[in-house]
Amino acid sequence: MIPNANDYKFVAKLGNLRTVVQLLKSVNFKETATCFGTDNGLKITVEDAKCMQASAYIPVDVFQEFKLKEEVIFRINLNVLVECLCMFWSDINSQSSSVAAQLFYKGTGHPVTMLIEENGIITDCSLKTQELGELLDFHLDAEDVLNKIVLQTDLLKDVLAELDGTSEFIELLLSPEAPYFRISTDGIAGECRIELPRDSDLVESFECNTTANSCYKLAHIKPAMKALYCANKVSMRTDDCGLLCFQYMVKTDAGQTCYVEYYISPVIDVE
Amino acid sequence: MKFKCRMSDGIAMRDFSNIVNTVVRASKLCVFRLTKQHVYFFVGDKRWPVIWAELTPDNFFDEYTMIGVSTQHDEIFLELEPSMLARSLSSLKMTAKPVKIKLTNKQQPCLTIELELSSLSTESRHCVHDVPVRVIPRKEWEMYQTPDIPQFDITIEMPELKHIRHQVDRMRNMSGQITIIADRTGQLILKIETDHATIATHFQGLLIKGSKPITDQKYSAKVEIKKFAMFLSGDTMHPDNVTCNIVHERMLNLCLMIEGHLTMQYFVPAMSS
Repeated sequence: MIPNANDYKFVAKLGNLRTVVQLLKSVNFKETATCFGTDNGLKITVEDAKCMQASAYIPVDVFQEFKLKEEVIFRINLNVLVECLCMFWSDINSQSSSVAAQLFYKGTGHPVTMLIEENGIITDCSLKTQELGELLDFHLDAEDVLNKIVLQTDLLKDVLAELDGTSEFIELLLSPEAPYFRISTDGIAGECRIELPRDSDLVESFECNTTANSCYKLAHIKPAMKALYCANKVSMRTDDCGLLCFQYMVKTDAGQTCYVEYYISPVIDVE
Repeated sequence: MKFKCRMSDGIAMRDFSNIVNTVVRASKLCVFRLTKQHVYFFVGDKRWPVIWAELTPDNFFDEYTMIGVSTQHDEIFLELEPSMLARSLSSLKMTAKPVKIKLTNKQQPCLTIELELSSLSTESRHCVHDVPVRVIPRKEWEMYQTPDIPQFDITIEMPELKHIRHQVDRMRNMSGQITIIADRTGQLILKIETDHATIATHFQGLLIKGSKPITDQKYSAKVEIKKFAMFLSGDTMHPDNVTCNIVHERMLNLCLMIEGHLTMQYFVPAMSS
């Protein structure tokens, strides 16, 4: 039943299924995902309409086993991967879970095979890989970063939960002078401005050099909030073009650190 | 023609309402057949059986009186809406007071359910539900007889239903059809195929009924996943024996048994694969 590991370019055994499922779910706002297997671990990237991109990073130490002959890239249906990993979801929440999940990939043109085993019951999932599409290269160079804030997620959770859903856009103002950090929406109920303190205990660092005001689609911000519920800390950065990056730090039960990252392009011309 | 019964055991009441609730999920109309030895629920789809449940009255009722249409044909066939019966029985779960069910002729034939409901105050309430029924005439009886059980290619014990149910619920999100595959080595496979993936769960070491030689020839049936999932909810009845029978590429028959108490059979036609 267990395939011969030597035939495969990539073999991995997942530990800590709970965190992995959480990470995958938090980037699962679109069906298709591109996965990169490198010596650092596995990165899963999802892109929407060429203007937002999310990646989940699962470092090598989260895996119980990670064998890579060469770097691999494959594109699969993420919904199916998540459903498969959840086949035992009721049990993996408990510490004593005996679920084992293994991934196998032979290379271009082959499916990704996942074996899930629990108490001798084996589920074999063969996920068809798709033609690789082009992914945009979103990145923030250190010298272009205008503002950088590091927060405890609790602060953003409360703010974002109360955002006016009828507003199409959300405006973000970051500034070295008052009001420092402001989130505004404009919906049916009226305009709403939320000013956040910069010296609260929940704000770990606040580095703003220039006043920057940019506007984003609320529909793009919403998916980026999913990771809030499993993360401890989040860093927000913007660059001179208004590109916004959320980087969440997610701790596994065993203490390893994973990351989820979202890049969101600004809306240039609201009018 | 006469029918009267009384039920007071809490477990019997729970099982009885569970059976009715299962029937509700399958169809709008069902046939309730009464004989001296057994009580049956029958759901058919254009004469093809869908659900066939056989209950032993002694195990469900403390009192069971039944006189059929004639001494020759000592049976009663009633057609009713199971959802109405289920609603009347729904209060049984909370109170374990005796309940009486009888066939009455009010403005039309009815199954009258008399319940004793206790309330927080000392006075209990007497509650009467009338479920309208149609008495099925003699000439239609043959349509609702015990279905012919075909010769199965394989009969295999089912793994614990709650295990399967969880998996099938996941599979349901991805596909509308499921293939059930079994062989005589005791392997049962549940498999779905979609444009994006093929997923199969393998159960091993299951008991095979019958004495045919052990081969690894596979028998399969592809069925609507919705219908298969409906059967899996039967685990609320705590059956002590659940089997899966396959007529290769023709039919899936699932049988749920509580020894000497209840036999419930589901017939699911296979789709062409």
